Amino acid sequence: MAMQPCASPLSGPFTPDASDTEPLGDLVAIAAARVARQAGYAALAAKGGVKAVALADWLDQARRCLLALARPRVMSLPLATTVTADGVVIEGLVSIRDPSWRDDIAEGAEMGATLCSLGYGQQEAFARLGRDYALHHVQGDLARETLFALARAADRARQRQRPGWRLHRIPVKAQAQCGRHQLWEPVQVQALLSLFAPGAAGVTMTETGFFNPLHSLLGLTLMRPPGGNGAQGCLS
Amino acid sequence: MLTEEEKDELFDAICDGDRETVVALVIRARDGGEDLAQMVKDTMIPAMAQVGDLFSAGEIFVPEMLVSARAMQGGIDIIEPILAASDHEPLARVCIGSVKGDLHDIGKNLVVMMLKGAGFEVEDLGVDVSNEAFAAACDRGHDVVCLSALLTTTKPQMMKVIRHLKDQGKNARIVIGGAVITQDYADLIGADAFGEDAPGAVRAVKRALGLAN
Repeated sequence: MAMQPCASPLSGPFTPDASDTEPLGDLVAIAAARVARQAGYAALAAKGGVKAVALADWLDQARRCLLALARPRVMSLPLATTVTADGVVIEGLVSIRDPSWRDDIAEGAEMGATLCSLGYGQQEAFARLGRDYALHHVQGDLARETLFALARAADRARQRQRPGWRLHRIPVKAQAQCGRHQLWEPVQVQALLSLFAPGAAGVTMTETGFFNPLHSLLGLTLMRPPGGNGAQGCLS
Repeated sequence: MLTEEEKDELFDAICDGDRETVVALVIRARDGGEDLAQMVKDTMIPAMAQVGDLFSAGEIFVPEMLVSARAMQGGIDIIEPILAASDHEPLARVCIGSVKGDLHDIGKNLVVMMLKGAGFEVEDLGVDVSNEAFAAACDRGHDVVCLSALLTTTKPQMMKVIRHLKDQGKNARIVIGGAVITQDYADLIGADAFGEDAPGAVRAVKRALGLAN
């Protein structure tokens, strides 16, 4: 299949880091509110009494644990892309089969990858929480939401560098599955991870597709220039 | 000794996640010379079983199950050393871990809590557990090995663990579970039982041991 060189990567280095995002305390507060709105937690809080008190205490302990341990890290890279008949090849390594992305790239859209991590291990958290399984579970839920809040903050930082551009998150096509949910394709994510400096942000990925530290993510984004007619993309 | 009303109160306190009341009643039982092993069997384990049934039926969510499990644990923390000192035998000894290459522990941790709440002695081997570590756990006298895997990429490792344990002549029962695991897969790889969720894992361990149908 013939490949065509396409839009060059961003002209300048794009490297928002954790200092470009909101303070960790603010992100954790956002995350705690989201956790509290999840069906299971909301149902528990609605029952009131000792259950609601226990939940509030757990969230508070989880928040303090996270604030004590987290060393949030964010790194972003512009990505060189090549269009193919049915999609885009990123840095010659990762194929995204979606004609709409190909068309966007041809119209001047830019791709980037953002690596985020909370920078601490779950065993560290488990030990700090006195090996309390229930507390550790709540801490895990809070950490996951905090990671997503960090990633959204990184996206906002990226958008601030391109006023008027529209940012879309791109799912890396999945083969690894978790229940009914398709998650990510380990080989492709490892290839994307290899674009960052070795051990960037202290994040590695096992060959089975697990980030280490666990609460890390690698996001692929497309920035569309103002006034573009690109198709509405699929958000991850 | 606890009155029948107090035992009912203990049952309800576990279901309601009222750790403070559970601890107070267990201390009262201990100080009053209650048969603690019998109380665990007749009152506390059935309370957690009811919570597990409600979860499996979709009537409560994980956080509510956690509150109950933690309340139960508050009582068990007091009772456990007393029973251990009196040579009381647990229902069975179970070890559990996420298989090699699997770094998630969410499901495994829920199973640990529910197994403890059901009266099993549990050794948590953690995540990314090697075949050799599972075999070594069998040598420490565990009756059941529980294997957890989250992704399709780590699922095949379960079969490798089972083969390894069989090659090493280990007789422990094998129970598997995780987001991508099914009964068909358990049958395919020769596991003794499959748990579809945390309370289901307790039922699976009991089935594997011939303690339940």
